[in-house]
Amino acid sequence: MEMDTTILYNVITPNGDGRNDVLRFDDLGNFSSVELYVFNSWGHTVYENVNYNNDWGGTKDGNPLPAGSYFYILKLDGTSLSSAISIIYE
Amino acid sequence: MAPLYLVPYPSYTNRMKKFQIVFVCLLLTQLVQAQQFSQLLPIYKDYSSWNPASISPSGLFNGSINYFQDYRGLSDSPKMLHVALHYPFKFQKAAIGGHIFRHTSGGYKQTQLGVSYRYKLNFSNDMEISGGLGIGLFHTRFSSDRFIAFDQGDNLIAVDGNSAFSVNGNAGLVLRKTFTSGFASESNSQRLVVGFSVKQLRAVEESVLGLHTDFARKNHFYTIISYTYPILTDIRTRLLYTNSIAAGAGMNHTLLGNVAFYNAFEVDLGFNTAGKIILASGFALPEVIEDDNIRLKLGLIYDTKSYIDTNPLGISFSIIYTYDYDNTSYEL
Repeated sequence: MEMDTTILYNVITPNGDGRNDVLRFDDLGNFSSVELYVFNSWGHTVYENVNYNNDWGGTKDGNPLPAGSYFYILKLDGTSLSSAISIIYE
Repeated sequence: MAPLYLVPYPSYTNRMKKFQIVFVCLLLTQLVQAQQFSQLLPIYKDYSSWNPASISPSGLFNGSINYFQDYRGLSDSPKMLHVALHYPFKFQKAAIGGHIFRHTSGGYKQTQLGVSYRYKLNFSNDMEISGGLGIGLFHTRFSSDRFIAFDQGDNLIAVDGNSAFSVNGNAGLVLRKTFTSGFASESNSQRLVVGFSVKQLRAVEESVLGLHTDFARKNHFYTIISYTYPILTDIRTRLLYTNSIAAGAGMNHTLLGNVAFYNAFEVDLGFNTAGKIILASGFALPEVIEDDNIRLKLGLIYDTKSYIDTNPLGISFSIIYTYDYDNTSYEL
């Protein structure tokens, strides 16, 4: 699987309508290792998972994070990709 | 039981005034807290924006420009421009301040305008307490054309130019205590500064295009402790600790050490509990006019997070320009 073709989505709208409720990436099953780290503007980690499975819905310890901009590192088989991500609520 | 009035029954006008005062008080106590963590970014650069009691701490007219960029190398990384002016009057006992804060991050663009007032009480020659109040208007806008969504049919991100306003109020106290020491001078004295402030924010107008920012009700609290100690006549050290407790950002500690030489050159080294190392250096330009003090500071912040191995992602920098001027000689 080519890392360069991985689309880094940068917005989620976790309002339960089934559209962009979680941060998804395409074809994660093609990688043996998928890690996701999300942090806020301070640099505080708000989410991390070394076995990510397209299931982060903008929460920290189960509580919804405030709307705003965050940043994530996606590691696919050890290769890091990064992007900003916005959380928007209805 | 009928109320017992010891003073004449208040007139309608007086009642209206009381009603207005109560309304304002209720508004201030209800003002809330959006997350808006971006407002917290420059706390270790310009604390006066977060504590209105600390504007014009030197008693001088002060102007400053602060540009800050975080996580360089990452698309849509945070960029911030902060401009502040402080104007003291009543022979430095009072001061007013204003600031403009512009922040872009991801798809969000945020602008804040704020004004502050502080008044200083001198309890003795070596101790003073300042109190301050501030109010600000905060505007958030996001551009959906910057969004890459997994599901393109999401109505929440289908419309460009959505925006929301919020109002914030803040209040603070600052205590300054000066001590005598062997190397102390008027401009280089041993000092302790303790400040505490609270900021409350509330979205007062939800979005004009059907979106809104529904934030949890929480306040932001800020604490600052600074201790300045001259080790030689022209060399002084300063230890600065700041703490913020904020909605969405949790608790954050920053410890900063500062050494200044001849009141002209300084070096900062700090650490933030989020894992950032702060390096900054500044110098004062030669005095052109008596009592002028123009300083330029350059800062670099390195994020120590080991998993952020996609350098230069973790690198930030800030440019700070500050101008101080003694305006008391123009007061009547």
